Amino acid sequence: MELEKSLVSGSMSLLVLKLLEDGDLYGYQMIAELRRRSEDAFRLKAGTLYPLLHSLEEKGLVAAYEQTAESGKTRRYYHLTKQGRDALREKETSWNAYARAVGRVLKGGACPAGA
Amino acid sequence: MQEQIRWKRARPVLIQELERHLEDQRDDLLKEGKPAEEAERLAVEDMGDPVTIGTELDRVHRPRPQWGLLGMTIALAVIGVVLRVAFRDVSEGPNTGLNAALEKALVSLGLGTAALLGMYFLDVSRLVRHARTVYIGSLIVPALLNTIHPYLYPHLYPSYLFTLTVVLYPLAYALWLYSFRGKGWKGVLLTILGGVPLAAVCCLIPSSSALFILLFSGLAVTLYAAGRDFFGVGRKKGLAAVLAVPAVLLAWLLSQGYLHSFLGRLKIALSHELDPQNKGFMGWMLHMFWKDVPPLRHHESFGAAIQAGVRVRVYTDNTNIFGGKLPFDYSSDLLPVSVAVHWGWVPLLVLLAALEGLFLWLLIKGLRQSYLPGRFVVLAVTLTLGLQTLFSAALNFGFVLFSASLPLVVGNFQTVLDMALIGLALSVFRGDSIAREEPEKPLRPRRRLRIKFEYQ
Repeated sequence: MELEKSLVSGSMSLLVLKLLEDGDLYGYQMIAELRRRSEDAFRLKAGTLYPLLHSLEEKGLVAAYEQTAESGKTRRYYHLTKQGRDALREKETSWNAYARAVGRVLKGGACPAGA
Repeated sequence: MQEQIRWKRARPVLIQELERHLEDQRDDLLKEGKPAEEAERLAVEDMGDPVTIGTELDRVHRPRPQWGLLGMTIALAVIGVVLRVAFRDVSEGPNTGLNAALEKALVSLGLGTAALLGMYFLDVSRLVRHARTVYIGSLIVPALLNTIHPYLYPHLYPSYLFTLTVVLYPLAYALWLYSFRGKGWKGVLLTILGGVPLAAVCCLIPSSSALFILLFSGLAVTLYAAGRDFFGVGRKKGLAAVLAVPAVLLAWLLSQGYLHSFLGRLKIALSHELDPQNKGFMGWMLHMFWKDVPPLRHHESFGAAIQAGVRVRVYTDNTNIFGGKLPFDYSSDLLPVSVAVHWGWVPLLVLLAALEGLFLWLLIKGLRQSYLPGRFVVLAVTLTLGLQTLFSAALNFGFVLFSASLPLVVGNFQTVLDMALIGLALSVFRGDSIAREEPEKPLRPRRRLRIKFEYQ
């Protein structure tokens, strides 16, 4: 299912930070992993990912380093910093609160007591 | 896309990462059985709109201007010019040497500003890529100049040029250290051995302050690196190995009796009255200078205050300390105390606080940079200049342990080097967002992706 762009873009930094929680990844891996975990719902473009990663790096939420693989390919890996981990916790909390609130509205609102 | 990125130095760095991404994607598409041409086309299409990508990257990657710190450095260097002129050599009379001193100081300010800006706009990663060449050059160039300079300037003492360039040694060592990233125990050993020729030059000059600054800053940078497992031998093992070096060195100095001699020197520095005629003479003399120095000495005007600087001899005549004959060059390392004597101790304290404040600020900011070799560079530069300021303050307050020139203030050529070092530290801050470390393993030759980014 193709998701509406505006729904995805607002939460993209949360998703990227979440991907890095389990280990360091390079850009191409992130796109593939996001696609796998979302069961093909999130098809992130490289042109969206890299400016986002670089701005997260600028804010100190991720750090990057280059490593050359056995194949000889050099990749720039991104690593979640402590500051990034804290930001992820905050973003997760506010996203969960937002998702619950949206869910309640879509279901017709909270039931009044005794109803 | 490239045209959207206004910072030209950022373009190749950013394009490289995107190219690698495209290569990965193309390779996966090839594995899926797509023909090579189609695989490349699909990879590019999947990238997104190049103009938007370029604009977004341009928004993130802009040089981080350091105009405030550049301005502060130049302002302090201008104060240095005023002080060097005001407290110039007046041995031929109170009104002599003005034009020559002013000319030299202004040329030094001009060259220093050019060096500051030149280094500020320099790409530090270029210096890092040629780290070993810089290290070897820092030993060979002064040695060559030293060989020829007796013919050019026979009045200068033999190690003169080494004395001037020794301020660059901590930086040369930091760059040398960086060239051994991930090289294991061999790297640890070669890093430490790299410090030996530099320390030997400091001993041959001889300059105990340069040696101490080199050893202290070298130890600090090496510990900083080992604490990040920079050599790949393990954090704790690396730290233990690096800490063992000063321990062994101290034990050796103790066995040779040097430590005892140093402690004797320290004792005299703390209590100059123990040997006022000999080793404690300078301390005793400075103690005389500091007698009755007010917080602020009143002068009729700024011009009169400047003029007061040239009355050193009159002052010494009046106080009858040396019968008008100064036992050392009053316009060099002891310039700060003359500021206190003629203008009061508050202006001197403000000057020292401004210098230490600048170097401390550079150090704190430097350690926050993401580019590791940049952090090494800033650490070496700020420790060098910060320790020089500290030693100069100690010397001028009468604690005579090391001779040291006050950065940006004392010495025309020295000021140019100081400004170049500060410019280099500022260039680290300026280019941090696009500074990239080389990968640890060398790239093997492989087929390059031929995708042109010049499409609209």
